[in-house]
Amino acid sequence: MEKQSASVVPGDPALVYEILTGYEDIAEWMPHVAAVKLLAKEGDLVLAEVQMQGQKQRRFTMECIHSRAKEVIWRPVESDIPISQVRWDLAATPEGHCTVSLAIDRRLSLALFSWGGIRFARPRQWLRALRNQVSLFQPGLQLPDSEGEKILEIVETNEGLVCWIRGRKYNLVAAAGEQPR
Amino acid sequence: MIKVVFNVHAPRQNVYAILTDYAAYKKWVPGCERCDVLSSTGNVTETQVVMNSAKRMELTLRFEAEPIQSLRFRMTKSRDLKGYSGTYRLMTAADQKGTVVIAELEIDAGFMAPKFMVDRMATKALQDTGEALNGYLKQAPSPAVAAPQRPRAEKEMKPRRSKHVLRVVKTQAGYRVWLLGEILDMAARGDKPGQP
Repeated sequence: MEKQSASVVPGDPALVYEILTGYEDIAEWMPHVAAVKLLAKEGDLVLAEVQMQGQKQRRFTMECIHSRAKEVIWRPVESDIPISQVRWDLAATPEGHCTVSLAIDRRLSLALFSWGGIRFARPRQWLRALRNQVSLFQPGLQLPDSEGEKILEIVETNEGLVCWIRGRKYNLVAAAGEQPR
Repeated sequence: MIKVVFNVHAPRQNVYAILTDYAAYKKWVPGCERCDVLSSTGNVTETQVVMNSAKRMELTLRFEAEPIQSLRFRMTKSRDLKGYSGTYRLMTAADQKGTVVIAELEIDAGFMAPKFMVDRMATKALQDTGEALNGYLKQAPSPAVAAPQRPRAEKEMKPRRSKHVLRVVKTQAGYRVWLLGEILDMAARGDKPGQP
């Protein structure tokens, strides 16, 4: 049982590839994923442990195989997750964007019914989430119908969080000892 | 093919050394009664193994090792099984504190045993092997091998791309807020967005 969807994402394939293979940040954008822990990484093979949202005990190991800026394959290992493989294919468009084809191979599993596995495996929803994440990294962020004065902007950069207030730049520093809530 | 991933709290070299010490399998592999080395040429070793867990089985296994990377094994002779093969693939843990082992096992027990049952047993066998390996390492640690110097993580070395978090623009209708890809319109007090 394969579910497929494709979409043009406004970003170059290298950026899309970077987001798809940035496992420690996947929970930021991937629907229903609470946390991802990198277990091991060697060349184009990565092992990551995925924790689902709202299900503290529900973790599974995922084997990830990459082909730079072309293809990303995820395969759950030893899990009752009703997915046998997720495959992302990337291709550059003449406009410099990226066509992303997503194919999710689902397998018959009781988990399909017991923990909302059906809800989890939705290619269109994943592609929407990916588009959104890609948009965060666009250098010239365009807001539709937003002509006016730029009042405030916060950007995460190599220097940390940078804030512009009415064109004046500030570097934000994390408060020592504060844990994210 | 059954696949199981387990963590071993030892450097990869030590794990590899234990996995390729075939004669010592009886000391730690669950259900292993005997493991005799029949021949050994380079990284290929032929062994005679007697397993005694659910059923007593005798099989000839050929191991092919790729130093510190992986160990493949496959049955070359057995009266009890039609097929028995698998791999141990070793990866250095991301935290550099141990080894992650990807273990694969395929057992063909013929018509008499249903596949789902055999697969369940194979999964259990691999999980038990992982636990036993950790236990064996604790009990009889092999000489410590210094972990190779870790190259700085890719993430640390690579410059990060700038990521937009928030933008607030004052428009004629009020304020337009862009927050992590979502747009929110806020009217000035007393107005509604989109109304003159």
